[in-house]
Amino acid sequence: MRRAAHRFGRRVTLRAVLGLALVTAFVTAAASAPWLAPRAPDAQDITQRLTPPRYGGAEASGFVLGSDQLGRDVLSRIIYGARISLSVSALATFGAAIAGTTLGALSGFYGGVADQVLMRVVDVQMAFPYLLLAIAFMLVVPPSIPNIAVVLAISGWVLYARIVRINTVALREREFVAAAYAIGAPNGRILAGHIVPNLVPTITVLATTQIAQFIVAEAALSFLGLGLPPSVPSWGNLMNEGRQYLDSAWWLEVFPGCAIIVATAGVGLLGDWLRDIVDPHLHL
Amino acid sequence: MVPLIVRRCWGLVLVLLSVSSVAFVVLRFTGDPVQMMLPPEETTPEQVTRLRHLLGLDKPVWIQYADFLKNLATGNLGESYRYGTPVTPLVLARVPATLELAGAAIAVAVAVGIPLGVVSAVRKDSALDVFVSSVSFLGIAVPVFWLGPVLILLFAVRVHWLPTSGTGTWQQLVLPAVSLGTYPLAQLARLVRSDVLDVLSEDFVRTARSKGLDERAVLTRHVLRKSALSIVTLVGLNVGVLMGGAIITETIFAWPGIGRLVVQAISFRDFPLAQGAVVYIALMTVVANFLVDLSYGFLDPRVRTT
Repeated sequence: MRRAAHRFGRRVTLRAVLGLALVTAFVTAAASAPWLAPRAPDAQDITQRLTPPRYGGAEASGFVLGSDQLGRDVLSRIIYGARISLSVSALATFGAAIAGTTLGALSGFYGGVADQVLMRVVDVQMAFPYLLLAIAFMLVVPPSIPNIAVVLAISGWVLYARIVRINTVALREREFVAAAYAIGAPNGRILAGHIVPNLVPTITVLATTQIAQFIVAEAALSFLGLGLPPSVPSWGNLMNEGRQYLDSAWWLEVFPGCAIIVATAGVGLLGDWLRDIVDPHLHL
Repeated sequence: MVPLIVRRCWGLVLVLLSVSSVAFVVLRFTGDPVQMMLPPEETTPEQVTRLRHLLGLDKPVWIQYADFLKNLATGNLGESYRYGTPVTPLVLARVPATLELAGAAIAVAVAVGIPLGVVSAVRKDSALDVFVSSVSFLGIAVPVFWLGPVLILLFAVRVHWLPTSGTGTWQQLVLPAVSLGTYPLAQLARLVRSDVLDVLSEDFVRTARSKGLDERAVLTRHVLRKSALSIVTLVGLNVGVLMGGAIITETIFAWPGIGRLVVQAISFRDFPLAQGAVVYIALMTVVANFLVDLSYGFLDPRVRTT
């Protein structure tokens, strides 16, 4: 434990601090949106349509990042959008991690026919572009935050299943598992009490990578017109609306995109740092 | 080598069978193609029944599935609901455009990503290294559907250097290829940087230097050669990603590839066309990964025996 703490302390890099700061900033902004946002996200002001971003000076319009085609404040919509985009991707990652870990651990621990079947399922899904799967599912279910989270989780669980399975197979042969058997621990307790806790760091690293992917995936579904209803100010929807005004009002497309880039970069920095601590050789 | 190829072909058959079955099942849940094809106000129930019979949609699903598999075994992917012509030529007509785009994207990634990674490793901790590392970090975070429109805005709308969309000339290929290639480019730059840093401290590099090889030869003949395996693996893994990214890139740039075809087919509930396109996408992904596996044997003699 002390060694882990030592490694932890030594590895705190500028990049890690930056990543943590960015993630904290976005989560705080999402949590305190009603207090932080200058206006309500859906407050319209038709007289102030498509105002360009202005900072201070006599011409300051109050729209720091400009306004959209209905005179809504882009900054406020991005701040409220953080709530939606972050919660969708966090929910989806959580679902994918739970499902993938459970199946991967059971499959690796018990082996047999079920294990073979699961691995074939994983192979097939890896050959299937996940975006296509998500597109098809989104045509089936009505677009809502839980549904999008479920669809993303369905397309993302294989990542955990594969890596958890391999690690479970390796851990099963270790001495402490043999020792647990020797004192008569049942399979269930060995799996839940000895094997899965050892996988938590790896799963955390995978989850960090995946949250970033899901932030982008949610926006990709909106881009294809299959995401949340257009009235919901998710980052993807903001960009999708903004693209129609690319020519005349670049800020509608550029700023929500920047939010996505900075958020995913922040999560990525944090993920790289976690990976270096947990397992520098982990390949995703 | 031959047993490997046989084993892989068997695996390919299994993957194609499963992928097309998944596509078959999932598509059946997306809705009724007949309602998409006939305007609801002016249609009599008899017309609906007749069209459904014509398309074979009145049969029980499992019989439809059996028919589908039977046809698939003979290479017949059926006829498109929308175009009324066989699926295979429709899909095949789109394959070259997608391969061209994916190839150009990989070329951009390799041609820019590898040198950036090498330079960044050789001048570790220099301003250049910090710059390259930051840019490659952002390159991974930038979504295609943001980069594409922004590139259009900058290079096609503000300055008229390149066309916004279309296909045929090299100018039209530049923006889509750069949009799609940025992600693998950034990944390659990061991978090559960390690989080269590892290898530079190895004994054989010191030997190469001490026998008087100039730095360029050390890098190309000894250092990069060792990281060729991981570079090829990364490129192979990216083929699947490129196919997914191509769906969006092709939509942005009106690129007549298989990705745009499949999105249109799915939203039109054109089951045979969507199934056919998905089968070909999976086929290209699997074949690309197979080629990557084969190339291991050439790159690393130790792999040949297994």
